Amino acid sequence: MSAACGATTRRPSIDILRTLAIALMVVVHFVENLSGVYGPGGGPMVGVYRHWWLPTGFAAPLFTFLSGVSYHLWLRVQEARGRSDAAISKATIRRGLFLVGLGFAFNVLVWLPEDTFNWDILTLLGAALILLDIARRMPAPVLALACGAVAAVSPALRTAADYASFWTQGYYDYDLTLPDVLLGFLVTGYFPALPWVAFPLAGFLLAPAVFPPAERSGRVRPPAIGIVLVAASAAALTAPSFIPALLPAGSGRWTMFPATTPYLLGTLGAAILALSLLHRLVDHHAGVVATWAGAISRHSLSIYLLHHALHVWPLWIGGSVLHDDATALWQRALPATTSLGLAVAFLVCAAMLFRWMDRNRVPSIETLMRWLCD
Amino acid sequence: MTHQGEQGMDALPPPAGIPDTATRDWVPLTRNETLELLSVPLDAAAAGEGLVPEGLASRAAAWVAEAAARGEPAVSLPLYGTFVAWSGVRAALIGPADRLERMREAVLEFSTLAHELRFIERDLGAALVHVEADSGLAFEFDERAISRRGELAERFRQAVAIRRRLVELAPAIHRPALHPPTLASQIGERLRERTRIADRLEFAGHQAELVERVYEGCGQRASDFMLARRQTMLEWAIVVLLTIETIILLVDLLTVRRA
Repeated sequence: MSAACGATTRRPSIDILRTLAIALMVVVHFVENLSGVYGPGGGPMVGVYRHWWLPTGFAAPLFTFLSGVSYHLWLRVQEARGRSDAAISKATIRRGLFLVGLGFAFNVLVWLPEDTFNWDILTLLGAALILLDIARRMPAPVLALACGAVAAVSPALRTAADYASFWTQGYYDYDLTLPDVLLGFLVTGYFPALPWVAFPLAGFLLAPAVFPPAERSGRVRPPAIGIVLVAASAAALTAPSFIPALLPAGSGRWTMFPATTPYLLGTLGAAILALSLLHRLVDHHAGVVATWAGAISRHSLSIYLLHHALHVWPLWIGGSVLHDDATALWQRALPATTSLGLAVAFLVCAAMLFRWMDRNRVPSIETLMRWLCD
Repeated sequence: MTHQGEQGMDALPPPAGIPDTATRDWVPLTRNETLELLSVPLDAAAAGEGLVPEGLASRAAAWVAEAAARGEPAVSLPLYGTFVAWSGVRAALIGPADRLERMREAVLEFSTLAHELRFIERDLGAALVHVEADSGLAFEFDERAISRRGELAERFRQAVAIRRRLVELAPAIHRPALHPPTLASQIGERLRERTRIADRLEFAGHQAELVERVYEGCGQRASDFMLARRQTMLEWAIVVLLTIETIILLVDLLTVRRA
């Protein structure tokens, strides 16, 4: 989450976008988990079985992209403070391992022990942070090559790993064996390294262009890259109808699970465009929105954990008590509009709570991470 | 040196206390700079005695010294019945009419040298301002300095240009004395000696060497760094491709074992 990097110099554009990603995530999770309706086909991203108004699929790409951007800015601050390379590496790897460990603990406590290795977003962010410690030593063109290679090989690897065989009714279903666990981390889990590491890598790569250091101006134009990626996504969506024989089956669809090439390119392009635009609009005229967004953004990890605990645990407890089955109320607990209202209420309360915590210096999970890792 | 005059301007009236027979004009030197030159012919009596009237010499020296703040410190040079006062911006020549032209040529030649050296010293002063800040890059070049390569190359080019100008200037300044000596050669020699122009040339040479050495080092480090960077890029690209290949093999292996 954002706290993975905790940039010391706050950028309102990043805070606002991260707040947007958190809001999207909270709304989608509340509505889907309390009131979602899945079809027999395994929960397609777009289809009659989904609430058409639910903005699914945008939060995670935006969040992971911003984690790469924040890491670059954090790195710049550390270098400016004269922190040694080894100290930066140690802090980065500790933070990465903290997130991976927290991700497993979260899976056990929230999704119950059988989902320990479902490779959710926390484990992805932790692994990505460790990878970024290597990536920060790479020249920019090589990083771009790595992003391209990840995007290029991911569809083939999904086909090789038989991705569909790991998914049942829209859920990741694995056996507790070493091959399944490793394949889940690499290709088949909820947020596998391939292709999801492309988002933090791209964020890290493009951060100097969006936020150029004072002594130099960037030659790279992030908005142009964003437009090209969105156009490439559109082309990838339409390409299979023209050259179906050359592309793997399903590669021309827009799905989050798996993150197909059009989805990867489109969401990445949109994230780049949104960050570039907001940087121009708000970074020099931060207002009250930025203050509130900063409170949410600073505590995104806490919000991630808290919102799951607040809406998933009652489901398990309610199901166990009322129906003798922990999952009895899963996606059937409330009407969608009520879930939406609860999500909004949660966001408002969280913003007020974390603003109060900031003012009173109350420690949070981010404080613990900094204490442990820095 | 001033920018007040151009060649071909009307002759100016002589300063106060200088005979009307004197001529005063602006002589162009290099780089749009000029020398205000006052030539005072001695009358036949004074020329015959081989003496420059003391009052006339002191008035001419005072006129030259007036402008010394804008140029070099004033130098006065009585020599074989002639008198030369020079300050870089102004010069006054007093002597028999038949010798004035040779005196004028000698003073102009010296002024051109002094003038060029002064420009070199000024350019060196500007270059030395950056040397200390840039010297770190002569030891170690890094990623953040890449954007400064053009600027460093330009400073190296300027350092080489300064060295070239010094090298061109040196033979004229270190010219051996003529034998038998002439009035013109003696004026040139004495002016060079009194203004310590050879010492200044040597100091400028040392400074130019320092500047050149620093920027030569920067160029070498920058070149080494860029080469190493290109090589590192290639190595990293190979690492990335090997990693991807390893992942493909790993997925393939895991899938086979799973099946």
